[in-house]
Amino acid sequence: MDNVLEARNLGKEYAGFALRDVSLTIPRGYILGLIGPNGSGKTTTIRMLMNMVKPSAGEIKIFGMDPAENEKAVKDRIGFVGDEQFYYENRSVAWTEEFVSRFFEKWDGELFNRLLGGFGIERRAAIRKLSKGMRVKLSIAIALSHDPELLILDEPTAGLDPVIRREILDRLMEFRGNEERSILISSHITDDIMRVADGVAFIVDGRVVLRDEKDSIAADWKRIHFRPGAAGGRLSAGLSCVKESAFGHSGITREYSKIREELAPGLASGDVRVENATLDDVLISFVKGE
Amino acid sequence: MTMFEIVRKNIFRYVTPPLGVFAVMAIYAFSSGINNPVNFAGLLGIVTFIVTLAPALVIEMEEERNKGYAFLATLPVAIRDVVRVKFMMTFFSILALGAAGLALLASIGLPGYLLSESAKTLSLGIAFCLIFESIILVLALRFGSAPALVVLLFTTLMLNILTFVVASAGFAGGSIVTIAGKIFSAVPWPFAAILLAAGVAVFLMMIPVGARVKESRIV
Repeated sequence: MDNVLEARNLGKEYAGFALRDVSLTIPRGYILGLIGPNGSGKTTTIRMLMNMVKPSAGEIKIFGMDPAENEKAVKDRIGFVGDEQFYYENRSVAWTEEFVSRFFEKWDGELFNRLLGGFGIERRAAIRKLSKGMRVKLSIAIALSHDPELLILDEPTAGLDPVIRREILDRLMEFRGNEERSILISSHITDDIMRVADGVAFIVDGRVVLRDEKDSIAADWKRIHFRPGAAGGRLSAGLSCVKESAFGHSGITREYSKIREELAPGLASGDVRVENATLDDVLISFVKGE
Repeated sequence: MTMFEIVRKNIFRYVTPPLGVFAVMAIYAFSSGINNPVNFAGLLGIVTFIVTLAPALVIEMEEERNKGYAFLATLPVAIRDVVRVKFMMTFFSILALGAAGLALLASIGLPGYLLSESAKTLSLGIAFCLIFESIILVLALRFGSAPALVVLLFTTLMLNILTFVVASAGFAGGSIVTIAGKIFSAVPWPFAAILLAAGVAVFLMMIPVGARVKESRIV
């Protein structure tokens, strides 16, 4: 399987924040979710991939090319939706389409109009009168209408209501279509990532702290509920984010397969209960530590 | 194609003010005549500076207001190319207005010596346009067009104070244009030609500087 995107050891220094050794790989046809709290470095990473910010260390290859040296060729094959949508505010949607369409080798005006219609956006509408949701939808319509091989989305659903979020995620799943297209989507709304992604990278304090398949995370990361004294009282030592609960205590493990046997008696006696950890649990476990 | 789009988007702003102002000056020159062609050439230089810099700064203000570079950076176009195109549009505006000014001076039937002096004054004006505008454009890309405008106004203020001080000391009288005119008239033609070439060279050298500055500050 060839990789559409490879980023190795990316670094960027800012006053009070540093991105260090961020490495990401996205195979063709794959959807990678980038999860992290606000200010963790998701947007900086994506801006480096889009050549909007120069990395101070590391190497980026998109479609096998350095995006800084082959900006036009690379971006012609990328659809991008940023965390904020910038347009020329005094212009109309129709003008914006005419303007952006000329930059792309392949522009499907019919698809763009179909998407606008589906999103309920008027071509004549002035950009400055569009709501936040409409601006995101317009950005997605632009991103999808030049037949990109890779979509890069930075918090596309942040601040949107659940109906619009679902609509946008459905469009992304439609886009994936024949599984030749890939998506990198960053979000701190882990439900959205859970819904669409094949794999997840967690980024905390400027570092990728976990990169795994969604299924592997579901298999290894569990929330364990246990009564005091279960498993000889050793359980809490191997768990993170241990807290008191109605059951007794609960904590998160990232190595469920290793402790499963140890838990068997407790599971049989009802002193231990196991449930899948959510991506939120995993993120909180990294942010708050042991 | 993509560069043509950047030109197309901004061409009206670049072309209209120089064309309009030059047309007014040409109409004035032909209808009322020119008493002092050297001063008129100096005025052409100042007008060239204003009507070519103003559109460039207005366009940068619009880009800042809309975060236009962040928008363009999502499209298949290199920001350095966008900056190059904008610089080149200003460059050609200055040269075109300079050439039109020369043509205007030549067409009003000046005697040879006056035509030569006027052309020299205009050439020096164009040289200064090229140098100062390229610097101000880089400042606008680095710090924003409002701070660049402040620098421009502050420099103008300082020059006026300097003029006042010089006039008070009895070295020369009159406005900044008069003093500049006296300095320009003392410059020999070969030196004026060298200054014009230097202006072109400085402007062209500032293009990659501006491109690098903007590329490092897209968002």
